[in-house]
Amino acid sequence: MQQQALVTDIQKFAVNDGPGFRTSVFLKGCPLKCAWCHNPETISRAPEIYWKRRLCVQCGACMEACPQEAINAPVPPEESREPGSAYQKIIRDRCDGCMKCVDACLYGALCVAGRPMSIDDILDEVEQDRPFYDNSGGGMTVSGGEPTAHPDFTGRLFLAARQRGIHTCLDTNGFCGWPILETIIENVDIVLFDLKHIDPAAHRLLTGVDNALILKNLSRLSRNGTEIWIRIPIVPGFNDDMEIHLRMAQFLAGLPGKISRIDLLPFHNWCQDKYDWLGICWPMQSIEALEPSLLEPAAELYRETGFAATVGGSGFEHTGT
Amino acid sequence: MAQAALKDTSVEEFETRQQWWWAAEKKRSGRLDYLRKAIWKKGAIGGLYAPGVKVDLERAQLQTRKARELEFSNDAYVIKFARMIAHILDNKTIFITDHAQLAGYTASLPHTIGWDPSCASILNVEVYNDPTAIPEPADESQKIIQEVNAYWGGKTDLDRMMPVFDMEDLMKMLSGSIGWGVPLARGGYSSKDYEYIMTGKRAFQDIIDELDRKIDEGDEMTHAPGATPETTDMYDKLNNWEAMKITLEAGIRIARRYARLARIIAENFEEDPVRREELLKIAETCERVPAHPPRNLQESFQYDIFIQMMSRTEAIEGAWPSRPDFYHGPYYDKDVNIDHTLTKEEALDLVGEFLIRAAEVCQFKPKWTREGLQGIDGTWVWTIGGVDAHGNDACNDLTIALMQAARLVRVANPTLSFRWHPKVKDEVLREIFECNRQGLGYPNMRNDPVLIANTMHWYGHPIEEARLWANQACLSPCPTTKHGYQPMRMANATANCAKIIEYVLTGGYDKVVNMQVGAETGDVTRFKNFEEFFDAWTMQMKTIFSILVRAVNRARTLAPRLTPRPFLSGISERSIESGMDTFEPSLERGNAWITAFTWVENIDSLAAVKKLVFEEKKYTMAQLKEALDANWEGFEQMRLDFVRNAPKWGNDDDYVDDIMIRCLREAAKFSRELKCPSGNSWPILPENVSGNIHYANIVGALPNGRRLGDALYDGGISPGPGLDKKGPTAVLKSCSKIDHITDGRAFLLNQRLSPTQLAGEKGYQLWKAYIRTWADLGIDHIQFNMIDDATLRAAQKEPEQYQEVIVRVAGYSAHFVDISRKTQDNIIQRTIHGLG
Repeated sequence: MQQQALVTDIQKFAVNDGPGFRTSVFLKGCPLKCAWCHNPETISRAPEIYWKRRLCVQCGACMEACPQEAINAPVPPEESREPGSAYQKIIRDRCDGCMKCVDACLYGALCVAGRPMSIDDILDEVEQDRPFYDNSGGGMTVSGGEPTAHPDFTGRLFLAARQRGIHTCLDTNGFCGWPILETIIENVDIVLFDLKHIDPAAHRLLTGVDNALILKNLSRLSRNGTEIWIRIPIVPGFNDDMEIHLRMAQFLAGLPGKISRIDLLPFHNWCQDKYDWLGICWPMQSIEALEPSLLEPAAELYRETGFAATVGGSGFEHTGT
Repeated sequence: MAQAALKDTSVEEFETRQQWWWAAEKKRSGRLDYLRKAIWKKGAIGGLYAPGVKVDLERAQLQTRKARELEFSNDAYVIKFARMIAHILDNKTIFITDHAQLAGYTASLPHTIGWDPSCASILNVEVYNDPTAIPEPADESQKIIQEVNAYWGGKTDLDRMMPVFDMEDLMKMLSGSIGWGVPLARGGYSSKDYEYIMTGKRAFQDIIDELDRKIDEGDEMTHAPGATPETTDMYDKLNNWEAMKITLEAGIRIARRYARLARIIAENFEEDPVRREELLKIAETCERVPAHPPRNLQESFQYDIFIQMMSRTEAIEGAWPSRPDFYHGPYYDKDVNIDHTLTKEEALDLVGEFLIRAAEVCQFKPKWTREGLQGIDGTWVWTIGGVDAHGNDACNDLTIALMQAARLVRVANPTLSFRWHPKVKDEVLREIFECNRQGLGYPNMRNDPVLIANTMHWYGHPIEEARLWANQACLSPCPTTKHGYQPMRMANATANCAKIIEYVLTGGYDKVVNMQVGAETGDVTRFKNFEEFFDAWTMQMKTIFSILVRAVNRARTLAPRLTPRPFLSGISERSIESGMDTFEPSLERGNAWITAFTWVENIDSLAAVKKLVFEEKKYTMAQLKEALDANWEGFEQMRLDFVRNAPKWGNDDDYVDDIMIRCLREAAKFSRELKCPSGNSWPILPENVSGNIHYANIVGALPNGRRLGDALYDGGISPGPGLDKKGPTAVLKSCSKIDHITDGRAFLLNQRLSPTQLAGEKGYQLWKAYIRTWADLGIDHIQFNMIDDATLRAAQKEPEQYQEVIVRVAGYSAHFVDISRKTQDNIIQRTIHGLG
């Protein structure tokens, strides 16, 4: 039995991840490789080190602490902070993840992404905000990464949450075996289901996997009677074509059960710092964040098909359903 | 912005861009627009008054002349003082602003600020040395000021008080290290007996008639056969009654001067028939009030303005305790809903003007006070909402109109403070939300059930009276009732609490002012454990609080005789009934509190010492002391350890939150040992106003990693800037561990929220759920700063284009461009909590 899972963040006061005020728990590890991923630190299942160049004063303490010689020698801080600087602190292929450099850093420039937590650790923190859930219909959302990548842990986390009387949402990309999903949702109040593209080829191209399993799972979930909120990340040049939305709307309308609402989530590049901290060059970095109002026509299309739709997915938006 | 751009842009466009100030300018009536722009901006900018704002020398001269004349009079002091006030009122220059419907100003001309030379010589010296505020020609003015100062030297309230204080305490206080202000009865915040004077039952003439009866009876009693101590006590009472009468009669006379002025303009000069009618209405109003109770909204507002003008002629007021919707609301209802003599729009014009008339009031204050207030003249926090004496929802149409008017006139002072309770209607909550969303920074929210219980707990007010509270200054609820109201609160009971922890490290020696101020708790390196360290903290806390409280208690005890206030007495039932001055402590239940500036630094510092020195033993106390002595210079890595690796208040972390509770409970226990002259306790009230900036160069290095010169935390129980890493829910959770009834008087909490996320219905629903949780958690106060960083940065670069940007600076609002760069940076540094 998996006692602990790597958690990259527990975000309180989350207001766009299901109804009301929520605490979002981000688990590490994801089978998809979406080109636009805004949580790049949650893709790998292993702990990773952030190096925040803006905070680094190039004191060299990390280099002295590193037993693997996986740290580059200091350069003047102005140099490493310069826009476009190619300087990296960590030589990632030499690093064995001992985290001695992180302990040595006093400036907060090196930190760990992914700390192991038990179910009780997580729920104790989640439960701190109970008064906020009570006044807003909120609760816990398990996100990632992909929670179903830790089937046993996630399932027991939801069970324990339900036992503590906490409202639960699962934020999933739907890419897992149906038995896994079926077990997990036993203790889930709402599934926030990511639907990225309707076309298999396009889906494969930008996420690395086929969408057949995802669509099938959605269909089964819908038949199962689970409350579903569809979340569609709108990415320029990938799925911002009205034709695609028309097809998606038709697919969703054809599902056996009801879809409570559809949230269109505009692409943004505010995660570019995180890519840099991981030493990754992100090709989509220079694509500007989408203006939310540009998504209104698509939202309107879904509404006309009979769905409640929002742009941004606020947990406080009454969609009339 | 160019006039053309203003003209071409629609209100909706401005609102979409969140340029609320321009939207308001387009939305408000022509009259309100004129009146809003006709007032001078009086709040000091970074401690300095704006160009063109001048000290009013007229009053000083009138007062000095009369004082000289009265010098050889045989009258009692209180009567001489009353005659002086009457003389000022009878002879000061008066004016009526064009388009205005309300009249009455503290000083003589719109651009002048009042100066009372009889309060404190140290203030008079500041006037003399303030070249920017001295009217032209400067040499002539300086000559006048010199003469005035020469006369009052040795005769001011403070000069007369000085010899009766403990000199050592006084020196420590005047060093400026531990306190803020001086113990002056006529220089503080006076709550008032609004239940007596503002409920339509009586006005000045009714009281004068009552005083005449009292004087006749007293006179008869003192001359009838018999001689008991009561007989001779009556001599003092007769003097007090006489003095009250003198000021009230002067109040009626100056109102009639305004009436005459309005009539003269109407009958001789005004060509516009509509304006002529308005002037005649002003004349009629000023003939009616304050002599007789108001009959309509205009008279009610005018009556209030006259009372404030009188009060500010008699004393320097640093606050404006008021409950406008509760006391003026019935007149609004009568005019708008019953008699239909005013349309809603006309009423809104009056309400907006009422706010503007208050916004222009200013009295000269010393530089340290101005620095501590940043951009406003005083903390005029008007209380609205709440319940009536029986616990029913007291909100009315005027509650809503005040908030609507506030969004149109967008003044930084007065601000509004809303008494939240479970019965508040949705339509009222929406108005509060809208004011905050539009970046006003007010109303703040006060938790009525908690504060009513708090008021009963600390001072024993009966529940019916506790329910009738208004803020006496920023945050302290005071019943506006016969025995509930507190006629003064001295600003010097304001402790610079960061010194408590600083003195633990220095054994009470203050290295900034170079004197032993705190207790001699000895060498800090000999403390063997955290308990010993904490004992020293408790000792320093008690020592500082005691110095401040002793001075106030002494001044308060002597005030009825040395520095009486006949006018304030004259509008107080208990003084009229008893013949004793309003300051007489035995007549009131008390509302004493110690304002705790810079409080949270103690908590974060204690947590850092506990963890890094005593528990983890990462550093010795000697190392810490060495680093602090060096102001952390040469110890940067160690300093960062104390900043980053010690728990900080505001993250829902019991390790440090428990220290907060422990400190507050020590203080609460001691506040019950401290007694005010009314026999009641001295609870603490953590807030900062702008004291965090003023004290930046006074507080030395601290174990939380702060260096001398760094801005202090922005106040109350708000976490340090950027240190509340877990977001707004964790801040509220930390704060909810405090018992807001028994741990202190009130606790200021600032929260910055992002306005861009609060748009629309969902923004309101979110805010409402947040407020409901805040209330459930039993926190007594919260205020929002909703301006986004981009706006603030832009305002820093081009202040002239953002004259109207209002932000929260601990305890009140100020215009962003007015506050010092240090404060601005501090605000921007605060973690933004995006709602939405």
